[in-house]
Amino acid sequence: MKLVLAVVLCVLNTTALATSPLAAQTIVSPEDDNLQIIGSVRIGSEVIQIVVGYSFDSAVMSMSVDDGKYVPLFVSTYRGVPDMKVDIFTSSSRHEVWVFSPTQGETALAYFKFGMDTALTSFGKQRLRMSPFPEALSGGPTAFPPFIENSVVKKASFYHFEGED
Amino acid sequence: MPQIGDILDTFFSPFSSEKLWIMPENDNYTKIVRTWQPVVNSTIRIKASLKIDCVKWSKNFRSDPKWKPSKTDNPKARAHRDFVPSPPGTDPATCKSAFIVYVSSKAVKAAAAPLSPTMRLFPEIQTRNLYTCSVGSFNIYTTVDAIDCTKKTASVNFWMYNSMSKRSFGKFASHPAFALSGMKTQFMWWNWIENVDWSSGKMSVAPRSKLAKPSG
Repeated sequence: MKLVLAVVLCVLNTTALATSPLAAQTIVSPEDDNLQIIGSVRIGSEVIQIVVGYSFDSAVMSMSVDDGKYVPLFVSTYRGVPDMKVDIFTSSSRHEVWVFSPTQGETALAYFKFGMDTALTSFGKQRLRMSPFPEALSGGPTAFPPFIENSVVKKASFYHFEGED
Repeated sequence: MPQIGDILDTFFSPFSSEKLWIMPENDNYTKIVRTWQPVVNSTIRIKASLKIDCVKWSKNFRSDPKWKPSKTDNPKARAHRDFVPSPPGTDPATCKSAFIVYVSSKAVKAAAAPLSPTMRLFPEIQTRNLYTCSVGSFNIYTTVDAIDCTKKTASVNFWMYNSMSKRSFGKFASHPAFALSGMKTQFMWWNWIENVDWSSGKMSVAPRSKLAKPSG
């Protein structure tokens, strides 16, 4: 939806703002796609990252696993993600990862077992994505493997802040 | 029946207030979004899922008659969700053209109205692209009102959602040109039902003679 505002600015730029340096900066283009790394953590021999892929009017927070494959965690229909805390838990064997966000409720955002080509997400079982900018995500909530607090370890907490505009 | 101009005008008005826009099946905006290719593709994906996982749909994605759309970005619970980010045709260049046409037609109408009262009847030009650009990214939440996995039929209830908000506009919202704009969030929901049948192996949609009231 920010596109419409960008357009409004553009219309105004053709008149009142024609001489403003803002005129060249107000259009958001698909080239504005970018990836922001929120944090990284090593689990055994694996490194996982929490990233946000921003497109011109959407954003997808993902977990990067297996050298550049992505598990979607949270999606938004605007270029932003609400401020949130993201907690990473592993099983004692370090083969499994649960991702939670206390600000998004008690249900896990994702579950992944290293070596698998699928993960459980709020969209159900999803194949690992080759890009942090999926064309679409489709599915429904699913049950996650039991999360027994005594048998898991919190490996990291990340904080994502964008603040209010 | 709201036109996109009504929603945009409400959003940019200095007296803007949060509003819930519910567009039912017979609404013109709903008819437009249903023929928009990203929505068509989305509903194909959804119905393919229904065909493959009928039992799962029957168990997990049942319509709740008590559910009503509300002013929230939170996902609809116990529904299948299809998220379509930044669909083709909502890029800045396309949207710029659509918005210029709309704003220009408003300006012409406003300027000419004092000269000729009949100009008040002159319509503002709201192109199809203006409608789709104003949606941009969207979610479609789907449940079944009725389902029979033996007969392979279902009544599928689609709720498509997007919000138009100051937050959506990021840094642009603080531009001085919009100092007087209220930019209060506009929550937009489009609803329609499809009666589907895949007993032949191919998914088909039966025509709907009577339009039902929106339900969860």
